[in-house]
Amino acid sequence: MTLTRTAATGSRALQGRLLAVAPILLPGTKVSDGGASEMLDAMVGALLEDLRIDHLWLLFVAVSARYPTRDELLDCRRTFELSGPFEATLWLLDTALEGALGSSAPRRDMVLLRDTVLVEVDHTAKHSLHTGVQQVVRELMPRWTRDHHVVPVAWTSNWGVHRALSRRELQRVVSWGRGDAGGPSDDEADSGAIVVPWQCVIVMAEVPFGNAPLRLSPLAQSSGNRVVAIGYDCIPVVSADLVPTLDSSRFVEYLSVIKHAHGVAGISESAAAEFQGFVKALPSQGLKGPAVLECLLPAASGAASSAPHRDRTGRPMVLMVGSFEPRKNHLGVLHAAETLWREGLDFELTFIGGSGWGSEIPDRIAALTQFGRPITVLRNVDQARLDQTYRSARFTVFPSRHEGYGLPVAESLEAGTPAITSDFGSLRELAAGGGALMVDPHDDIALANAMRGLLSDDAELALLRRQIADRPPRTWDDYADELWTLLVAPLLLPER
Amino acid sequence: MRSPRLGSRRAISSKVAAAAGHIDSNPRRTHRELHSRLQTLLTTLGGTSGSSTGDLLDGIAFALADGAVDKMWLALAVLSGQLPDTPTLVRACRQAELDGPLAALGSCLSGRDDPSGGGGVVRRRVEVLTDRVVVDLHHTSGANFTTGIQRVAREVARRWTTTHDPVLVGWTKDYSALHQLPEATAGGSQGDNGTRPSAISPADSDRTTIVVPWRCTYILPELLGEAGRVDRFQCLAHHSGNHSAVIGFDCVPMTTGETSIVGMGADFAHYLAAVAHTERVAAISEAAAREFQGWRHMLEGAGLAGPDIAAVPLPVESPPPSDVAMEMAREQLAIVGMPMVLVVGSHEPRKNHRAVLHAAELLWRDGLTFSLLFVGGNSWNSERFTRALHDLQAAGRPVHAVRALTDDLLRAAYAIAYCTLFPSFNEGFGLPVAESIASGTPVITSNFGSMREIAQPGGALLVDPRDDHDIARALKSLLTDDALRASLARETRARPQRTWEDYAEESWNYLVHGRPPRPPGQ
Repeated sequence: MTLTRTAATGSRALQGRLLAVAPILLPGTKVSDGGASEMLDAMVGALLEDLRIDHLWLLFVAVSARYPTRDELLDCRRTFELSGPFEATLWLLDTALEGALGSSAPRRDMVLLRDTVLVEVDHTAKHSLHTGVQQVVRELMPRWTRDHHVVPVAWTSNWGVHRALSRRELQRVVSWGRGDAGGPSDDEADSGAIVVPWQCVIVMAEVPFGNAPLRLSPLAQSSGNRVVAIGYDCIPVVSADLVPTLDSSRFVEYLSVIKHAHGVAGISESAAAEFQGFVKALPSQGLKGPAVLECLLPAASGAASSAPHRDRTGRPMVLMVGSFEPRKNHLGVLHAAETLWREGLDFELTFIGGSGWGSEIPDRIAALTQFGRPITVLRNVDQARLDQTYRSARFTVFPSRHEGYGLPVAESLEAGTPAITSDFGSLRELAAGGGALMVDPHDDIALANAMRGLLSDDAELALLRRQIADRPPRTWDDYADELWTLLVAPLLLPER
Repeated sequence: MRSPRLGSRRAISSKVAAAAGHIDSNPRRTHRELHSRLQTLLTTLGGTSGSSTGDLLDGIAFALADGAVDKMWLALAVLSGQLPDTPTLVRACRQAELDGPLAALGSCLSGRDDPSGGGGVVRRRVEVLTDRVVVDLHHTSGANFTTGIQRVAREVARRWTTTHDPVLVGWTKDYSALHQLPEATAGGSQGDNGTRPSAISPADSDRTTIVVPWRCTYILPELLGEAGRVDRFQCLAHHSGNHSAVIGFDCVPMTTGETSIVGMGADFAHYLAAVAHTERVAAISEAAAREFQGWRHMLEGAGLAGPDIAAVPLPVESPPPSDVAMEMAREQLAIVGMPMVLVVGSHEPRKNHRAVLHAAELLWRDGLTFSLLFVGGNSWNSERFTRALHDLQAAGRPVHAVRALTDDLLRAAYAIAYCTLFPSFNEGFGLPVAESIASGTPVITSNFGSMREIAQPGGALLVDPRDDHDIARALKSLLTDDALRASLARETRARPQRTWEDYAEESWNYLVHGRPPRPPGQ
């Protein structure tokens, strides 16, 4: 594309974006045939008359094709306060140009959404990972897109502004597991229109990556849109000793958005308590913070109880699912298992998860395996294999030191397999419904005792299995409905 | 059930003999140090000190046979010459449970330096401190500059050393162990501006004697972020059986991360993960206490109760400046015939200096006459401020910025200022608010948090720091209303006095004895 054509595209795109915001910034004015510069002059003029911060935010977005950072928005307001129309317009165009390098956004059209619900699903859309957060998104979005008018959005590649999903991305979000959704993210979506909310509700269904929080924070505070979030946990700042440093840094940036959000729905009582604690700290900086609600993820009810399974050798199998990281307490499980093996108990220990960080867990597994202990590590298992392994375990162990929810316990119960887990926080909540034993995860002896009990006492195991069958049912439909009712519906205009 | 495999003392003895032989085969110097560590450990654990290495090991194995975690912490610390971190301690406890305590201590008895360490560890002399109050002044004693935190640590340590008998400690260069600091570290004359050279021996040498606290109270009156130090501090607080308590300055890096340098939040979260296992946090204001209480609430998900938290507010005290400084300040820091508005603090975004410039420009355009003086260094992300400052200077506005002043000259600046401005977004205490009021100069500050708290007894106007116009309005009302200014100045003098002595005593009573200060008005 030649320079001239690029400029022409840019100018046409700018005109289109200004047209999109004209009904808001120039209400009652007929602008249908206006050129970009006439419209821009009129909009700057209107703002110089009445310097509304939300209008300023919107004009900035229309001109720059990106959301302003807090500094950019304040600079913009201060410049407008001290300048005439010419300098103000120049500043806007200058600043737009500053951020335009390396971005295709300024050449792109803009879709302005009004009074709509946007759901930020960036990571789930772009990647085929299927860990805790992505699983929630992939259960939630098919139901919300079916029952309500919602628009799933991702970020442009430079974390400047939201955009719609490509077909393939949409498939990863709303029809996961049906048809091919693999492969790397395509660029198709990164050339389409940017999506800008006006008086909308934005649901943060994930913890954002990159520079997104820089632009989300002022959006939540000043744009007139309302931001709400699913609160998974605050592990990166509460148990920073158990997570990679980068996670903690990213989470602190996330909290800078949360402080200006309207609501956070914790996925467990414990997750809600963590966010509530953060909110309690906010008056010291003159902020009220979001309302913190509880909307509990579905805790499984195991329909599929059957007789205890055994593997081919007739040796009972104990399963632990979770990536190899210190927080999950694999080393405690290995120690308890070794204690029991030395006592002469015969069982196999299976780990599913693998990846993670640090070398101490694989090293310890290698040492024990070399010594002849029956340990199996399975990586990259598909859903069918995972389900089957859950079912063939005598019981599972998940004595984690900190979880927002504890998916492996829920999955275990779903499969009808009793679990041993930690006696506090979200894991305690999960276990309280029946089918699980609770131990102090810092007490290796208690863990070994619990494992010994379930390995040797068929009656106790059977009792837990019956408890699983009696757990009160809660489905993903329940969760999706309740989340909408609690978190989103109160912010919507009455049905028109 | 706990340790069935430990067997009889006789069974231990065969292992002991092998271990003793190994130790005794070390070069003489290493052997002497190891032998002395074994003796120190056994004596501390209440055993009778034997003479042969075998006897010592036998006694230690017997003393550790109950599997107590605190004793294993002590054993690792004394024998390795390094305070253990939690993974190391847990690993040793697990190994002790499976194979006996001597197996768990094996690597400490090798006489070789841990290859990951900085070297020289095997030659450290190890002393155990029992039943003392240990004050960690590592950063404060080594720094040749003064932040607010170091100022507090230095002021309390100086007074604690006079009225109580604490042991002042710092860390070895590799952050693996504590060593005693000379008492003079906390000293320094009144008016010490923090430029005194470091009192610590500059390098760890062969002669380094490290101290291991046992049944002590460990007090941290500063912030700690160094990787090795925070991990070992966490383990000490959690598992060593020592009491521990900290002065809590604020949770700003977590709660106001958008105004902090990238990475600061993660370091701070690490520090908090360690503080979670201490017994007490003496927060420097009610607002800081509130932040720590919010954080403690967050611990619920990790199954931790967290420390007790009490507000022990810092004093509002400032000695008068010298006549020389007053004269110098009048000549150099003010413009004759113009009221001077003073802003103290580094130009980091949290301090909101960009809003101050904007509010000032609005008033200058309005025709008001005043000069504006910033005292404080550049900082992370201060470019926007610097650019705006230069623009205003280029436009001829009477605004100046100096990086730093001596304490005396700064106090003179406070004294000659017409008023000060401190519209920060979040502060654990807001020292410039206190200093302004202590100097008798009215201050305009934020209408929440510690700033409102300090301002409450009088001498301040409160504003919304997120509203440039609110700041401008308050400044305008002070500049145009002499009576208002005079009445605020009167209020600063009528405030109840609170001194560093009061603070040092209250914080000691709370940190060491758990006696919270009486709330004001009782």
